[in-house]
Amino acid sequence: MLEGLELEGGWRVTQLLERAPGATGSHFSTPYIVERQDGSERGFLKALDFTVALDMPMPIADALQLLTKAYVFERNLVLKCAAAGMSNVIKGVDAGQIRIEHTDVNPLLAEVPYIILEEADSDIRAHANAHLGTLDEAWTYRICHGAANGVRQLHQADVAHQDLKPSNVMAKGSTGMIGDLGRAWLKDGSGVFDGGEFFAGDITYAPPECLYRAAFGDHWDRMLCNDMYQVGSLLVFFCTGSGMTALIHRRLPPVFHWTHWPNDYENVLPYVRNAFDRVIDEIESGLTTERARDVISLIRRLCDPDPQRRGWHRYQRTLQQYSMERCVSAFDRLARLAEIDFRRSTLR
Amino acid sequence: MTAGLESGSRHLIPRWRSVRRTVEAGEFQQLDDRRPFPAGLESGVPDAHRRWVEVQDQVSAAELVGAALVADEMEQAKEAASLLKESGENPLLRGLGERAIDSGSTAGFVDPPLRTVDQAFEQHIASLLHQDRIDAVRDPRNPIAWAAMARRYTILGHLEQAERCLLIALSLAPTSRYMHRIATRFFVHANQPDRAHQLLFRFERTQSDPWLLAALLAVANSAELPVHGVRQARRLVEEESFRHRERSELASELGTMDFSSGHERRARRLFEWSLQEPTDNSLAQAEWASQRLLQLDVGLEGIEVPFAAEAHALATSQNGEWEDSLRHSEQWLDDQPFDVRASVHGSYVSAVALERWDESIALSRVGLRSRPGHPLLCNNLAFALIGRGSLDEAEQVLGGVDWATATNTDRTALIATQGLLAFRRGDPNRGLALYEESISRARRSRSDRQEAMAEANLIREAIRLHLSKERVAPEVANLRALAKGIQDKAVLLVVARAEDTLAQD
Repeated sequence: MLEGLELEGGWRVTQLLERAPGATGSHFSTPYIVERQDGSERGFLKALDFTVALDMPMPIADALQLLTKAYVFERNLVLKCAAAGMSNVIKGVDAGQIRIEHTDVNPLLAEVPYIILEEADSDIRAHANAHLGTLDEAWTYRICHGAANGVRQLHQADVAHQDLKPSNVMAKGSTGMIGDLGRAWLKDGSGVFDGGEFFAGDITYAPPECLYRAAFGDHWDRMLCNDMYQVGSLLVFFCTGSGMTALIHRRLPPVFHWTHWPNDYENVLPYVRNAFDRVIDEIESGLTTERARDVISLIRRLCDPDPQRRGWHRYQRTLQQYSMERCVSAFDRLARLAEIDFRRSTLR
Repeated sequence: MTAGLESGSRHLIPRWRSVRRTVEAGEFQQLDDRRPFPAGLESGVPDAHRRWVEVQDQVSAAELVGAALVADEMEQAKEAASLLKESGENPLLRGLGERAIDSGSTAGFVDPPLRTVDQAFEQHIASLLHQDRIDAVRDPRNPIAWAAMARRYTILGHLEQAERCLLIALSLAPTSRYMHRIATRFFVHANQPDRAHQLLFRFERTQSDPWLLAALLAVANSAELPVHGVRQARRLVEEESFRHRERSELASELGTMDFSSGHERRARRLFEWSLQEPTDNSLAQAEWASQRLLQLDVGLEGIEVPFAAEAHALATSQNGEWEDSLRHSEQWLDDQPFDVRASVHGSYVSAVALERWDESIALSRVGLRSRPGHPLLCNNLAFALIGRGSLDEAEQVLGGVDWATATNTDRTALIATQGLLAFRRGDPNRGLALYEESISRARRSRSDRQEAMAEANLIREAIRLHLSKERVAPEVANLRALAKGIQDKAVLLVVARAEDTLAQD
């Protein structure tokens, strides 16, 4: 509907992208590609679509309120991140609203709020698919480094991402960028989605303790801890083609599955840990790189199923336990070593 | 003279299996209804399915199958799972596909089936132990790895190492029911029932968990320790919030207590109740009780329970179906390789009923591996060795008996076996004297079974050495009188053999 329209700030809408069928609150928008009129820059536009409210499983007033809240929350957040100069977070370039001049459109729906985000090169999943079984090390560690740095930048601004999964990580050259802040949660306790008390993102990539509703530490600790797990799970995705939570569930007998186990993480943890150890063994046996030990040790640290043992647990109960600084350094080191090896092999 | 389980008591001491087999045995509580998604969250399946339809590559298949596994919604992921399963290149993704197709898999918890009587069994256990050690070194915080190691050490009879591993496992999972139950089994096995009792008594979950309370009562009753929590146990058996199977062992142990105290009607009711949805342990308990309690019919054929080998071994032995009983005993031992009772039963059936000495020797040795010096097992091993003609070896075995743990019944059997050895060494006077001592002990303890067995064996040995019939005439008369009141098919078989020997002489 917006194709061909000219927006404030010198943007022109060039192409409609397909939106997920059956999409709900988190997908409140219709995506488009936009371009500066002089062709100097391209961007990704998310246009708020109020008609989505009709398909949402809640009263229409609640649905409209949720859509509006989600839009405003994400708009403010991406613009704040851009203003803070976060190099590994997809920036908000512009935001505004446009009026559609069309006789069929209800006047209420004719005003379309939008956000324009910087455009990345590609979704990392296609690259991962092409390199299944033969880890493209330097590229992988650089992308993970970028994603971890993006999370670190968000944490510094008191924002927890909460939905870091392969589809929300983009590559810009060999730099990893994180996007989609719709499920983010702020340190002051504000966020859009109710699941934020434990976890607000896609449960396929949720840390296991969130699925079992295990409360530990304070709310902000849990948010940092979730992000750390998801960064580790991203590395697992590059090594295996799947996220850590799915692989753990593959190794977990159905009786211990969170949908069948009472709210009692402490008593299911031994079995989850055992499944986790089996997964680690499998990942390790599939890694041919000489940095396998470092990779495995990093995965163990970032994805430990016990949130109290996750991260740099020697600093337990201090903010440093879930600090992304060390994680960023670890990925940087891995990437540098892999790049040196790559250069050496090309020189030979 | 060899001995079986007939005279001993039986209690619901928990089984000790790997996690995988404990899951298969149905010991883990499971919610009746699937839990709903946490508020505000939704399944990742629809988005993953859309991408899978668009792209149809391995990563999108893995995303969809992963989302389906985590959300426990496999329906839309079948096609993607088949692609992963057949892709073959990446074992992890192939495994993901297989798990999605076989949704009941317990693949994460490895426990290969074992044949305890195989020659290579010990080597096999040792190699598994080696792997457990590697697992524990890689992740020292994995209590399952420590527990697996403890179990294997117990099978090999290295009880000190086993205890160390088990205590680590318990410290890593201090609120786990599984850990408390296996530790209970271990301490009872290691002849430290007071520690098992203390462990359960001090655990705060015990009074509200029927599995743990059943174990506490079983330990207290079997070791004659103070019995706490009977009133609470009777209340828990009525507690509808637990499933039948979860209360089955508790009901069965209460039934055993009532039976011991002479309340047979109440005992029968409890055993019948426990059979509505039994575990393999409560089923075996009911079978054991049915051989002592009138009008308790277990109806074993109509009950499908995993790992029910003990119940079948007891039932077939009671019916004189010796080949079947031996087969079930071996299965029972494969499931619980450190269970002395399994080893005693198997070695008894193979020696007394089938006179298959080598099998009896192998089965006794399995038990002795984890409980060296166990009086009854030493006795059965020596008896089979004598039967095979390995007299020196039998003497050595009898010399290694741990007499301090021998019960009255064990001593009666051991003295008779020493008599048998004396006969075979060509010393009838010593043989006669030892047999007579054994017979008089059996008589004092009013064990017609043991008395008849000793007399029948004495008669056979005396005739073998061509002693005059007059020397054993009082035993023959007594045996015939005793035999009229005996139901035990194994004893009757031995009596019949003695009669045959007399007739042929």
